[in-house]
Amino acid sequence: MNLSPETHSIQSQLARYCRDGILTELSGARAERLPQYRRLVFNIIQDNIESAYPIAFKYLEKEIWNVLVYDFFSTHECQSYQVWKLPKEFMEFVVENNYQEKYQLPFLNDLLGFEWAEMELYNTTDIPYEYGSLNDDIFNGTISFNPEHLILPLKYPVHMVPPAKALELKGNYFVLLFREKETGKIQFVDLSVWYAFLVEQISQNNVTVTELIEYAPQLFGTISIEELKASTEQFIQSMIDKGFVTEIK
Amino acid sequence: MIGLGYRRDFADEFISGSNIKPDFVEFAPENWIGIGGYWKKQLDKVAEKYPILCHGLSLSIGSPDPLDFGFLKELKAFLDRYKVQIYSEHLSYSKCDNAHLYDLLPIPFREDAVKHIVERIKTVQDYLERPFVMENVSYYTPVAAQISEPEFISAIVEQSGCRLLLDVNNVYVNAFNHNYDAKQFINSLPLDKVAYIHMAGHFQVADDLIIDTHGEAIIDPVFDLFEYTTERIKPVPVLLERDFNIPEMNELQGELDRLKSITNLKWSNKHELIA
Repeated sequence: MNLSPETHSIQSQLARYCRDGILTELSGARAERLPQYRRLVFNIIQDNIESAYPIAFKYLEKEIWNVLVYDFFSTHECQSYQVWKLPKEFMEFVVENNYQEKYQLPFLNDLLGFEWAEMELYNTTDIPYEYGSLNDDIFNGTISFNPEHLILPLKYPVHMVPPAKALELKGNYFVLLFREKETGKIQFVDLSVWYAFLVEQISQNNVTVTELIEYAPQLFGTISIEELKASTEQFIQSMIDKGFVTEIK
Repeated sequence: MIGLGYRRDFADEFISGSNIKPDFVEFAPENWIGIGGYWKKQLDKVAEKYPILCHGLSLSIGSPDPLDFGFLKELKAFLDRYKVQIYSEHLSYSKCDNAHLYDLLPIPFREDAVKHIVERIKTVQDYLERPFVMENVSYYTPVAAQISEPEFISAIVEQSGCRLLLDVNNVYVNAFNHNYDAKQFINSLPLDKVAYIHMAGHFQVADDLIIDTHGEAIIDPVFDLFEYTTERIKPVPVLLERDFNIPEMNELQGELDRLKSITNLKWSNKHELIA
């Protein structure tokens, strides 16, 4: 290590100040200029987090929002070398430190998770896939989905209604997000627990719809198989129309 | 060659090439590594049309922290993928005590920092297997300096074998902020090692302080300093940086044209150096 402990310490002091804004005397620096660094660094952090979470930023009281951002940047060690991934670390920080309970915002984790999921999927590395034939039997064919997707479980329907309204609708929600191949845009589909299960099982375990429907009574108790078949066929057809189903063979 | 920094704001203009015609484009690899979807397609179209130079943000060459070899591995693959001819970085630090700060902090101008950085530059050059170019950065206060800024930059360039990215606007900004002579400063640099030039606009926030914003047009004194510089160095690629407050494309093209007319005048009989 060529760097002297003194130089290391000076560099640490400046970095520390940029993170927490607490000014201590810094050797050989112009004190009146140091706030420029704090301002420039903190602006980058604020701008990135605000632009990743526009709904949360708009909905939360400014004072609370500022506390979250300040606490995050002053205490969390940002690990990603890519600034666009910084908001993910912010979300994880908010969840781990249970700010939603502290500020009585029970939807907060869901909202941040939903907003981040959209950004992450929008930017995520391409997964190669092609569209094939869709002519085979929906129930017994092997269905392939657009692999650029994720299913997000939520307690509050922040994907459908504003946060204040979502508070009144606590339940079990699932939202499917997938990236359109040509435009790169993110599509959102609200899923029932059955369709979330169906999409997950077909994606991961390569099973047929018939096999899953046979299994359904064990999961959901007494249900009408015929009604389930009819609604599932409708669902798969709508997913074909949306471009989420890429092949049935 | 006169290039322009690539931004999503004017991706379509780059691709069509109808209103803006840079000779090359530059972007930060950190903004693109691992990116897919729409913007990856746009980037690939740009890369098919123009030579690519990359200017990094997160290497943090002056950091007390160890080099991030995970990042370097991804960076190398990216530079290879886009056949990047010049990879440059900032003579600053942006990570400290295991935390990224996402901006450029000034390194103390000290001998021990020179040794530290020289060793790291050599490591990076060996790892990336390509020439490495370091930029003089703008700074708003020196921090615990023991040697002068030109001594600091020169020692690093000479001892590490890297090339110099001379940011002429940064020289102007620093000369204003720290009350020194910009031309004298340029004369004191190892000008034979300059491989690349950056030009940009800035914003004056106080009577005695300019911030390097890349958000305004280049001002005449910076063009003058550029002309002065071109008289003293071999031909190299020149980049116009514009990151904020994006104007109409014809305004940017006007700046590119002005830069080109200067280089045509000063470098007309010289061959351009590519690092």
